[in-house]
Amino acid sequence: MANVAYNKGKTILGGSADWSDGAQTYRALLCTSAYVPTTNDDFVAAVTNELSGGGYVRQAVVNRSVVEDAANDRGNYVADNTQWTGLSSIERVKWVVVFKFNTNDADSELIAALDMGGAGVDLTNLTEWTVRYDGQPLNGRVFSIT
Amino acid sequence: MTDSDRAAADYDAAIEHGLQLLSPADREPAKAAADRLLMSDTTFAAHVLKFCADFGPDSVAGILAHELSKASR
Repeated sequence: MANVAYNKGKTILGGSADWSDGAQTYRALLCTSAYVPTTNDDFVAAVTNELSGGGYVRQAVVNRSVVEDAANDRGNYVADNTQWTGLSSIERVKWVVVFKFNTNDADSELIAALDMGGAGVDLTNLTEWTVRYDGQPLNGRVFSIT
Repeated sequence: MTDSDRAAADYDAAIEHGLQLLSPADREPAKAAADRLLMSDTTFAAHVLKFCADFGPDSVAGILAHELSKASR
């Protein structure tokens, strides 16, 4: 399965949400392969099989901006890489789900689910894990709008 | 509102903020672990508030996740 751009995310990014507004809160959560994202999942409450225990907590997605990518005819939504620390998990991360936090899971809109590929990333014996968006060392493309 | 009332409200808000950063499956046991600590450790609330002040409200989730890990061992 490939990355998923949620319909809710496509909608709000054209309206009420502003990715580059530092006053808004965007976060990333991690799920196992038992979660199968669909474009019609609207809010965080629809996400299942989030990691549990093992020091895992949702992380903020920070230093966000939108960059025109003329060469590829798209707008790139970039952010600093997201790091999880203090881990003692034995789970595998299949999905990094990015969402706009409002007040709770029921009203926080889903933006994109990033497929970590294959069977996912095994966190066993890792105390830290960083998602390098688009493989960049510090700040990279989380997703694009074409 | 007294200073202790204000501190209690700040503590409750900090814990609630931290719980929002945990997986739904972890929230109830983490809250229970925090409640136990609040009863048994007179410095816990102050520790939470200091962490919140020093490192931001999201850091409280780290405390809760840590206490949850300890409780599950």
